[in-house]
Amino acid sequence: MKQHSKAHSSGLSWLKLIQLSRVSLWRELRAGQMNIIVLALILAVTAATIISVFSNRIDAGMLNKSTELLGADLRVRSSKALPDNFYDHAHSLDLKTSTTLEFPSMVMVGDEMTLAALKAVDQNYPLKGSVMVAQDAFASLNETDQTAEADIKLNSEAIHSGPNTGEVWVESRLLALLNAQVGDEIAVGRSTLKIAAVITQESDRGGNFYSLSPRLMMHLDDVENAGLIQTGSRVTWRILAATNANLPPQKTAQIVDNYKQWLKPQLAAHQSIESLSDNNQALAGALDKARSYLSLAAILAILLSGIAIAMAASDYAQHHFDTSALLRTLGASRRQVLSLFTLQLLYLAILSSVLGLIFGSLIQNVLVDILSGLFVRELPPAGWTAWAIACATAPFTLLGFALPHLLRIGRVSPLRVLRRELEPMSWNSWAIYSLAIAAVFILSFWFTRNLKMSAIIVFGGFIALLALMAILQILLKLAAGIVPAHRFSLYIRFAWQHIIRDSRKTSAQVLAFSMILMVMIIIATVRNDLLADWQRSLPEDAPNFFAMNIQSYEVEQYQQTLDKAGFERNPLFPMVPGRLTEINDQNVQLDVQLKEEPALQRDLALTWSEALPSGNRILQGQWLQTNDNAFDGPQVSVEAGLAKRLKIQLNDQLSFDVAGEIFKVTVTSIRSVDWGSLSPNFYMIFSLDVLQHLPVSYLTSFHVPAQKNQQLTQLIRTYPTITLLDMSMVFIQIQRLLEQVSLAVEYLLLLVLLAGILVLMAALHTSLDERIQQGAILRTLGASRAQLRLSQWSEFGLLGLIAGIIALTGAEAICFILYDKLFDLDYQVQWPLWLWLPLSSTLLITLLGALATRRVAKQPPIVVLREV
Amino acid sequence: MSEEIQTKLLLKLQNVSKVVTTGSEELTILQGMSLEIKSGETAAIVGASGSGKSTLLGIMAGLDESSSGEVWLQGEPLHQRDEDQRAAIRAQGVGFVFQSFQLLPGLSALENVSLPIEMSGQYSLKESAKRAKEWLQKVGLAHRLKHYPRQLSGGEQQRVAIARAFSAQPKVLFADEPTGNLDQHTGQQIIDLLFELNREHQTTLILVTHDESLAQRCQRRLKMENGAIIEEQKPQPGYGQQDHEQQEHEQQLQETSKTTLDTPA
Repeated sequence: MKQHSKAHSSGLSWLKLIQLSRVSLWRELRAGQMNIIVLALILAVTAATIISVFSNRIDAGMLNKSTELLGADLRVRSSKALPDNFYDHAHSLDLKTSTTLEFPSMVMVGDEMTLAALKAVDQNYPLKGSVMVAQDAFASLNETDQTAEADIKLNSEAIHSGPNTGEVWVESRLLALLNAQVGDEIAVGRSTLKIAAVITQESDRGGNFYSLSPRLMMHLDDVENAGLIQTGSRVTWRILAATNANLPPQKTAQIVDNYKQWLKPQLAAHQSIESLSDNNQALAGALDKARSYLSLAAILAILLSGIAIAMAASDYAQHHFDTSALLRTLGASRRQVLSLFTLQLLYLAILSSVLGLIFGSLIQNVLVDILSGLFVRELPPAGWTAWAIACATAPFTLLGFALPHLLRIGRVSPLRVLRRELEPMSWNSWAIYSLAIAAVFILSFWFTRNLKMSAIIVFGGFIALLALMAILQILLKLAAGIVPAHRFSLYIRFAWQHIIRDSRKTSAQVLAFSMILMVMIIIATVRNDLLADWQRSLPEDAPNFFAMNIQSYEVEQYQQTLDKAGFERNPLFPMVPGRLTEINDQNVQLDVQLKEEPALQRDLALTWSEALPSGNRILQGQWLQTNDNAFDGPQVSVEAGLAKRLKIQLNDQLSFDVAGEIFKVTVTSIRSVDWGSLSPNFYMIFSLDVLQHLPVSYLTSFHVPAQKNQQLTQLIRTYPTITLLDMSMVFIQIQRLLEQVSLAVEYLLLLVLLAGILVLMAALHTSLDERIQQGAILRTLGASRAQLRLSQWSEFGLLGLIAGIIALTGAEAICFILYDKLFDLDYQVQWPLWLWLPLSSTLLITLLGALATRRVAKQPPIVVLREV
Repeated sequence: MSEEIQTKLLLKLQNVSKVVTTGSEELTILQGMSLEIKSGETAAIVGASGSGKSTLLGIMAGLDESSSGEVWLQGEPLHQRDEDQRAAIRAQGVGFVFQSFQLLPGLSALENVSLPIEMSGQYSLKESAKRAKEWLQKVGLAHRLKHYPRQLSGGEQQRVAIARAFSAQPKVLFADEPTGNLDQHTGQQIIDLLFELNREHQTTLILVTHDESLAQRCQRRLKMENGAIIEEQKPQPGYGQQDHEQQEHEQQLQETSKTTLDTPA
């Protein structure tokens, strides 16, 4: 006999209790009574682990990718050399730094001369990413046809440094303009340097319109010798800062954030911190959406796990009422009984967490292996937070979803020993829901750090479903009165009665089914639209070259040349550089907040157009009207993002300084622009009458197919004054990244769908005992297998149909909000889905239900009746 | 007429065995059992728990399959029929009463009773409901038609089960410990009802019980031990005709035995 631990007033000592809980759990596990709850929990933890860890790693991978595009973790830009303390503080935080200097300058090879965009870099450059160099001009073009290949053998090699002193690397188009080759000497300021290689990709260059001239990259040490910088030169200095590459992403983010916070109050007016989104909107947008998708998948996975656990816990409680009553009869206190079952659930949580973590980490490793070839570098390992979340999933969801059911066990009256029909009071359903909502919300916020999305999914989802449930209950009651059930055949009527009679039970079941289906619909719908959006913004023949500075007299001829060469092109847009000076007669440079906006620091590309360019959409007001309409003054249409940042509203008066002339125009529309498309996009589009009399140049973008460098070189040589911007490498980069992310999205979709089906099976299992017993009774009374199937299948089918319709309604509502608030996509009701989804949910639930209940039809009824 | 029925063979078991495997062990529940029951007979299978009597009942009723041997019910070779064919036989002429009632929880008392009537395919929905109502009146539950099983007491539930068993006009009724879940008084009432309806409808009654007093009211008593019948009491001649008097006599006997039994030794 064990010694008496703290003597308790009632019959069971605590020690005995712990022993009992362990022994009885073990017996139940061995007898297979706990299969469902254990499976549900393992499933929950596995799914949470996979999605948490996998998305954390993908996220970190994408962050890596994006820092490559920045060349650093953080960049500070300035028009003057940056102060030493900026460097010192960075070094004190263990950040590595590099300095770059950019400015335009004339360069010469022989007698040929052109303006180049010079970039001088130090020996540390680049801190992240690489410069791709080749020995031939336009080497990058040859790669466009191979983008689909995972391992692209580039004709160029990736170099993690800049050129040596005395050497320069140049862009292909500079060679074309100067009629030069690799190995030639080039005059830069007072120095003569050697052209050592062709730059095919400069990962941190971005696609800014204003890097008009071709790139020449040189060593920072050569700048002084060349005497290139004089006072008054338009230069851009940058500090690139990055952590040690081996640090985990969380640590990096923390250090970078520290530095950022330190920098912010020190920044002078000519200094600013640069982030990726300023630099490359197309890519940043895609990355943001991809990250949102990962978060969405994570939240939905938690929700699925929660549902599974709630069902399993309810089932668990039901099966333990008898044990509870018996223990109470034997003298155990309510608290002891509760502790007994809490301990059991705790063991279960630990057991399933361990197994789930093992399975989850194995599966995510396989996924990462599949994807890792696609990322430039290996995916970094997940941070501890990802694992912590995975570990927290089981206890947390158990708490939120299982506790109310668990507490019911404690409330069982000992009288149940005599009267089995006595069931403990159920919790107030609002209390159950609130607890569950709180648990999912906290977990998903923790998971994603995305308050908006967590709120939309969790609260929006619950409210939508509860509303639909209420409607469903009313409809069921109405249907009970209206539907002529007596006309149905016996077995269909039997199924119908089952659904109608216990509208609470039916609703609970439909709620579970429709939540699971809803999750599956949302994840699939968002995936489809996201991929379609990416595909749309980057079609195969998306423009990969920009041509600017086309003079009016060249327009006709240039168009013809492009068409003859077979380059798909956009229309030519007129462009006049001009500055926005006043908003409603207020000087923008005097406004402390506004003057930070980069668009106010430089000339904007102003254009005019009769028609709304493709990819643009009017959000407010009306597109520029012609004279016969209500408004006939000078008008302008403003891009929505800029309008928001500058607080420009409809009917505001804007003043522009164009070549010394001041224009005043009225804002008549606010417009959204698809920045993801590589087409000319404009912040300001004027009405026809305003700018036409000014000297104007034109710009366009066009697609150069692979293996047409001959025509391209020809084009550059024929029109030496027209600036050509090579976007092909950016294009390849974005496309490749989107391919990788799309693949990740596909795997996540598959995972969530798989988890959904498993949870659906668990949901079916919880109602199984009753169904199997009923089936066996019907069999005893002489129903044939076919008749029984007819009855059960029609019930499952009807449940599936109702759940499908409800799930679709809920999913449409949530997607509508998600698209509007988060993904910035246009939402369209998916009518075809309304046809085939209820059909497939009917089939799916029927199929799974048939699988789950097949035992009834197979086994002799007496065997079944004895078991239940 | 009653003689005709009595001489007709209703159930025949020939060398029936039932062996189940649990894990690696083989367990013989019934061994080489042979038995004949004639139409209109009442037979009790008695024996201790685990003697195999419920298994025997399941096999006789076609709810379970034998491992070997032949089972003939109403001239049908059950051992050659599959589950569906056996179900069709059950739907046409077999009624059941279980220890745990086995009513359908989602259906009202009325619907529970009308279900097998409708399943027999001979009556319309309306006609079935009418008959079911009559049956519930007969068992004294006219005021409980719309109640669901969970709203009824154990005795009431078993009455519904009895009404359900007789409502399809079965030729044979199988009862598995029909009073097992009821108190003695209620159990007695249920037994009276069962025998009364049985006599009225000339049904063959086969019941499994470990209650000797219940077994005493049957014409034949088959005592089982270790999966075999070890003892049988043959029906007394003319038992059927004297049934009513006999029953009253037995009831008195039981009342007295109950009092004696209840007195502590």
